[in-house]
Amino acid sequence: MADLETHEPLDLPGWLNDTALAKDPVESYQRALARPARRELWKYTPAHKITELRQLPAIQPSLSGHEQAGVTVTANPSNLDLADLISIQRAPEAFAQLCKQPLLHIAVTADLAQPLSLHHQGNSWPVIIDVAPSISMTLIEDCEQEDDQQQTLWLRLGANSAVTHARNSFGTTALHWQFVSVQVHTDGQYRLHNHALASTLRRQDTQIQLVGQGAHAELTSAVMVAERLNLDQQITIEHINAHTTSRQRVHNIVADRGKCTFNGRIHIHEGAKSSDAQLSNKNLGLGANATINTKPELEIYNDDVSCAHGATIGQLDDNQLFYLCSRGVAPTVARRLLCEGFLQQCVDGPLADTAGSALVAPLQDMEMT
Amino acid sequence: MSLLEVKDLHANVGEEDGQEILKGLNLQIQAGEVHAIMGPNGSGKSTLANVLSGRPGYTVTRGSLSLESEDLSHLEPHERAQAGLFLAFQYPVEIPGVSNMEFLKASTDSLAKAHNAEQPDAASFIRQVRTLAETLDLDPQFLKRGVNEGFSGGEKKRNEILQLLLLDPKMAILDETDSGLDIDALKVVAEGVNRYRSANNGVLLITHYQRLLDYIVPDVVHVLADGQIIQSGDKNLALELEAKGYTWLT
Ligand SMILES: Nc1ncnc2c1ncn2[C@@H]1O[C@H](COP(=O)(O)OP(=O)(O)O)[C@@H](O)[C@H]1O
Ligand SMILES: [Mg+2]
Repeated sequence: MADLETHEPLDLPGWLNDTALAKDPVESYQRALARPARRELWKYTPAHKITELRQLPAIQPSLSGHEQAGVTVTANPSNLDLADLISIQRAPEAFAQLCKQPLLHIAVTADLAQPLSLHHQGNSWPVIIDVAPSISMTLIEDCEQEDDQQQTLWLRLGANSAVTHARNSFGTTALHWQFVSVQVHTDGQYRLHNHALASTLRRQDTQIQLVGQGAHAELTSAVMVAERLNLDQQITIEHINAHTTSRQRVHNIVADRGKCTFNGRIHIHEGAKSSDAQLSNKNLGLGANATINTKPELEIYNDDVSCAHGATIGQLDDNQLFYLCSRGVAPTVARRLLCEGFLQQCVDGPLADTAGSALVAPLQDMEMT
Repeated sequence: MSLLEVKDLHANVGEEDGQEILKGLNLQIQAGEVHAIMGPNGSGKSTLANVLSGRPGYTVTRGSLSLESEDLSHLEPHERAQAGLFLAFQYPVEIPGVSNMEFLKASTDSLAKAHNAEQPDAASFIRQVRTLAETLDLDPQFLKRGVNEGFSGGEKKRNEILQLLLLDPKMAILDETDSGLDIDALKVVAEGVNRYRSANNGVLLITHYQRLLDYIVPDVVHVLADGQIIQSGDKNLALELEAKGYTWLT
């Protein structure tokens, strides 16, 4: 794999000197790039397509809701303790992005009545959001639709905090990388509502670590892939501590010559006693030319867990179709309704209304035969 | 002209070479009539309902079926519904993600479009559906949920009757709508069917038990066994069947 060999020199940022990350970052980075497990992550999307996005000029994402009491935004902070938040091993590409760009740090220390919104306009500065203990807030992300772009985001949820994170990605003409790494501390609750169309290439990496006891993560994702577009979604949830729970519901429709990859990995560490992880991934293929790669992965290192993990690839249900038709609904309309319903099951959160209509828009001009 | 006419109907499950289930079935229902079809499990009652409504997976090998003289056999299921046929399912289908209200609106709009009629405006439609739900003891909250999703058996059956009353077809086939209902739910369902009945439409009640016929009084009772109607009579035939069992006839 050629892309694994393109090791550009790292331009290490100032804040790195103050953290444990400073120990051999370059060597760790090189090792991470060479890790065999990394090949799995980049099996269907060559990594260089994503790492090349780093060459784009960096743009500060525009914010709203940041003027509320309790929100502190700092560009290029010094003195950040990021050692336990950022892992070179897990995501060397995201680490390289951190080294290359200015950094935006957002501290949230009060409950937010209004959502905090990030609007991305291109190659966004990396963003780190630190949510103080017992704080609840909503985070909304969306992006300009047309241009190549990438976003890297780290979220740290303090004990007992609750974050609802909604993200809409509906551009269809760009290379787009979205990386989110979330760390949830004791009894914290993280919810991600992801709604996306495929694009020339859209790659979504989501890494969630349930580090504190009782931490909870919930993820719903609705994806529509049409034409010759591509979407590659890689989700890893790590249950690190006891009594941690996760729920994932991921529905993808792949039509035309679209290509969709879903890799959902659940990793239950030895210390994660009495954990409970559930993942349901359903893929609907429309037509004979759609490509779907789905790979649920389970790694469990203790016996005291409950895990439900399933992936299906299927077509529309004949009984449902007949039920609708028996009420006078023409098959083309019925199929469209069923597709919409399939996605709707994973449309949720504060962006649900806009997401619902944008996701099904490609179905409107599709031959539903 | 009969409302529904079935002549010498032979039908297989699957393709041409599948197992024959209906073996020469004849049935004539006039407008204003309620017919009941009774028969043991496996006698072909649901197959008849499915074949009439055009469900894929069956092949008609001989005979004819028509609604007001219109040949149904070449129509798609949605065209049969548009022609005025309605089937209340023995096992109503769950459709998560499509709300019941959305489903009812799609059905109503499709039928209106087929008849070049005006589609109802959203507000009055919602009012109409809510009122119907109340008369059937269905919590209006059900209308926001996915079609039949998580409904109890009784709620599903009442939802079928709601659709019957809303869509107001010419010919209604009710496939064991009474099964699994307690007596109160049975009365609600029967009341709904009686409200639907008129001089212009017809009902084919498929049932396993006589009980339903105390509340929806049929004009004609047929006994189906092994894919044929082996006996027809008035409502007393149902009572006789109840007392003596099906073996008496077969
Ligand atoms: N889709 C099918 N595939 C195979 N066999 C079927 C199918 N539908 C019905 N049958 C068979 O046809 C017979 C009649 O079934 P059905 O019409 O459901 O009976 P009833 O509704 O009277 O209980 C049964 O022997 C049943 O097993
Ligand atoms: Mg049956």
